Amino acid sequence: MSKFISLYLIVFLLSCQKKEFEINNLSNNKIEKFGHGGMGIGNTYPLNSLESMKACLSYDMDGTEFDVQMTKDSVLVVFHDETLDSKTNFKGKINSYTWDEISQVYYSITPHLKYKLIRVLDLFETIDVSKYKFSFDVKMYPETYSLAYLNCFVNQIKLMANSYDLIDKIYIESQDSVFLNLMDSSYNRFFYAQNFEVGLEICKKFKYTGITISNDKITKKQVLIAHQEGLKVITWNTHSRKKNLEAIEKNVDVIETDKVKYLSKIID
Amino acid sequence: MLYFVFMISSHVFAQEKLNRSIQLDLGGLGGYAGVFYEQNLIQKQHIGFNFRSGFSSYKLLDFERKFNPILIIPSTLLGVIGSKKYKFEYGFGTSLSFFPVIENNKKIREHQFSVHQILSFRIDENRFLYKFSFIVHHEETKKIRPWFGFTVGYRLKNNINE
Repeated sequence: MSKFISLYLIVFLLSCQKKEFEINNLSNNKIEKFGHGGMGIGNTYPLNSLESMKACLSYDMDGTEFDVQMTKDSVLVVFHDETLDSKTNFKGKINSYTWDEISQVYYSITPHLKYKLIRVLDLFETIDVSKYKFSFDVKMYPETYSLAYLNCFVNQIKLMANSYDLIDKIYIESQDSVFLNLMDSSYNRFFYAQNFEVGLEICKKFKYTGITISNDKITKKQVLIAHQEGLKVITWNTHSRKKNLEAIEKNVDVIETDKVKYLSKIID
Repeated sequence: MLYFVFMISSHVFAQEKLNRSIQLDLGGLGGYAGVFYEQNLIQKQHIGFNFRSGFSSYKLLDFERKFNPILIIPSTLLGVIGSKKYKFEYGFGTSLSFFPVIENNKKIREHQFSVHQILSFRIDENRFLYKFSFIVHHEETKKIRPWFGFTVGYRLKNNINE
């Protein structure tokens, strides 16, 4: 019996140690470890909450991804869903409220606890931004979609990046190439693709920094193709240890993980 | 309010034989696990009323990985019906939770109330008791959250005044 316990302990300890991976990518052969909305899906802290992102950055991580939306009075707010209905005490879209109103919103998905929605500004004011990188997953759910709305969104991000000297430390992810084209090429622009081939063509056409795609929708060979075209690859949907290992073995450039503790332990 | 009922009842029935127990929850009112104390307030043949309170925690470390636990204190008034061995319990109560958050770049403790209902099937076996519970949390947002729990308890000897 004691032999089995010893064996289990050895296997457990080995599984927590850093592993040797031979990485070949466009980020100096190093995979950047990002949290997915902080600690990721399934954590006690809600996705995109300040507490979740603080917790993520307390590990050995390079940065975190978060979802960005814009209020009616042009304030950048960190929130994932199209509406507030299913995860908060409010209903409707972020874009139909002012920041004063949104500041009263809190997540109601964890029994007993309530965490507030935050502005991007709140995150940057709370942490030492010089130590980390950030990925803005731009979610646009406006009341009316217009060029004026896009320009306003772009200007708010640029203002934020300039204020905190983050231009080369932020990645802008969007499914909207019109929006990405309004961000100039001094920013790291990533096209958020549903399909690798389509995404690759759009990235090549507009000379984006790279492609953002679900780990399930890209193969190791396709990552190599992207790299040969000079495009970096960000993957998400890495919500298990196995999925994280798969992403590492594909040589992607950035992993936005839901398993922060695990990823921070297994790679440098 | 529940504490008030508990204190009055404890005093009124202090001279009588009272059943008390220490219980461990897996799942249950506190979330993942919890430690509870249950006291029988009134017992008339097959019907009784109990008060149950305890504490639990979701997390011991906060977002800076410092020891700063989330503390949840559920309190419940339970109606009990059944035989000496098998019983059904139905109860309602409140949970008070204390948890660390960041506000204006400072770490502070927030608190929140929520209301719950609980329906349990209880088996008393000598000094041990077992409960299988279905719980409904009613949150401030008027959302209903179902949950389950399993309880193992140890019944303490009757009141010291007996």
